[in-house]
Amino acid sequence: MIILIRRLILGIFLLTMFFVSLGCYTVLKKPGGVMPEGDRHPGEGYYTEDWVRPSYLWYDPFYRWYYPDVCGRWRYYYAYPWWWNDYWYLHPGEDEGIPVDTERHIWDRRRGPGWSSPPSSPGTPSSASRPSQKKGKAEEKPPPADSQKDQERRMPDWGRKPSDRSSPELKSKDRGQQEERKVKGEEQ
Amino acid sequence: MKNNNWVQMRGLRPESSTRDSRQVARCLSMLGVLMVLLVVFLGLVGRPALADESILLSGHFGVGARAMGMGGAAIAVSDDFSALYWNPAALAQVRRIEISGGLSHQRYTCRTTYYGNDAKDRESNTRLNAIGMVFPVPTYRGSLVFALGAGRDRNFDAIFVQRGYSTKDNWWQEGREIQSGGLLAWSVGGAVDVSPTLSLGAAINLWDGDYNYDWDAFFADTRDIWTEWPNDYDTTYIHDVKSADFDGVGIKLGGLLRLSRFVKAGMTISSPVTYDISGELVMMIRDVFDDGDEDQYRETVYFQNEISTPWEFGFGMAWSVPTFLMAADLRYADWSQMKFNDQPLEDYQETLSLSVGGEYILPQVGTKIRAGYSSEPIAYTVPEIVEDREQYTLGVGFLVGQVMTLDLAWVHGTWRTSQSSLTEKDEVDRVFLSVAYRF
Repeated sequence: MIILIRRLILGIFLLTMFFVSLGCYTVLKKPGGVMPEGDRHPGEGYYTEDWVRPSYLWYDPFYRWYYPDVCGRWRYYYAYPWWWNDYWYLHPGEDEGIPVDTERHIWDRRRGPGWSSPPSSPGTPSSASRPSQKKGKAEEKPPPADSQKDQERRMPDWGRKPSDRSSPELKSKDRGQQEERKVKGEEQ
Repeated sequence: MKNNNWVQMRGLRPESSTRDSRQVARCLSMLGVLMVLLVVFLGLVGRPALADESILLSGHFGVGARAMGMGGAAIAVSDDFSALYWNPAALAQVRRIEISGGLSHQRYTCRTTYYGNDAKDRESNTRLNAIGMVFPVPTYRGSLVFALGAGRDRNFDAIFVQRGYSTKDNWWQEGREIQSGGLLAWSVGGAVDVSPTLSLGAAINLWDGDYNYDWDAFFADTRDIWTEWPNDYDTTYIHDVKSADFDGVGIKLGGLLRLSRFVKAGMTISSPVTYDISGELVMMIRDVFDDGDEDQYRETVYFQNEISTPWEFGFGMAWSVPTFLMAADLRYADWSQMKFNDQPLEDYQETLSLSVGGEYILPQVGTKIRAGYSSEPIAYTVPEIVEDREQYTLGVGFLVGQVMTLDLAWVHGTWRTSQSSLTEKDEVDRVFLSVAYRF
């Protein structure tokens, strides 16, 4: 029994070290604000609001590919992250998802500056109304400029660019709707 | 026919011989016969169940109805809780919180032919196959997913039956063996995207299981060949009961590479596992002699052993087009490196298992149908393998209310072995049911 416990502790330790040592491609914390254009150096990465929002809305293109529109219900089940704050139900008789109660999500604090309305999913009718999400939450202030530069220099922009994240057919249909919704949200 | 030569030689009248002295003499000779019987028994049946190490060669039972519906080809395909067992790196594909569970039902059929006599028996069991949850951590880029739960990856449920007259040993032999139990892996693991195309994962498996064995047999001198005292056996009954507990810890590492939108490749490495096995074996023998005397023998043996399994490597690929997916897996293990109490074992070989499967989504209906095939060679070399272990699978998957999946799979497996005058054909039919809820 003691030997078993020792092996278990060793295994947990190795597992923890494994995850700690895996580098920083996966980003958990919302990056800082925009680096001034004059401070951007060639070859170094930086984050912009244009990058942050689409990356947060990114979903695996494999599922968009494997589940075309004729079986789009599976796409909702597999592709869209749960922290999108919207929970989609396909109402009978309608082809597209309609957002329902968006106030129930426990990760509300994830919504910060950059979107005043929840991120939308492809195909949402632009006329769908959303309950107001701004419940008195203060916007985050950008960190001081120096620490912001240091933070951004440590985070190279790997591989994917915002323009690569969605399939071409999604880009034309969805980005237009996202932008439209963003504008409407800001107006509210 | 009774033989009174012993009485004449000793110059004693049968009625004046003490019962105790005859029984002592018979006990001494019975121990000798017991040894002979054991050799005969082992030689005749050669049941892998008698060797703890070969219990672990029952093959991977499988976790998850979707994976099993595709023949177990899941290293590059699994994207639900079962990925914790097939390839932890594939957990990185899960984007919603998942709670899932599953059951499995097995029907095991054994057919034997022993000296021209056929026998058949069947046993069914329903067990918990898996239960667990997956939690993706919200990310701005990449993926970080954790999972924990339990999966039954090894199943020891089996049955064996044998009957027939051995012209070599001059006995009628009839026996029935029932094995039950399995290994449940309590696992915790996770996966992370380390680049846009590569995910790595790891899982710790705490193996916990039990094994129960019941061998009920009798040998009868139906042709009155064993008639000379003290070996004037009429019938011998044997009842062996064995129970054991298994404990072990292992680690599984995995990687998943997205080569393109169409192709994925995965790889797994499973560390050796040292199982601590402790239990008891109770052997009971009752002899009935031609003159009506009976002797009983009972012995309880407590044992504690260690069995170390070898490294296992897996490699899988998946190709997909819209609504159609194909996958293939290879798994390799060198069972000749298995050790029993730190001693190398003989009679085991390396194995290369192959699994292929496919999934198709019916348009408009949205139902998934699956099929697969797997070949998992038997690593134990003592019996001659006439037909190696193969399985054919079918499966179906439904999406319920857009938040729940219901998967069903049916697995049909067969293999045939031959040893001395005994041939054995085993068939398993397994049904897997998995339910997963995502929110």
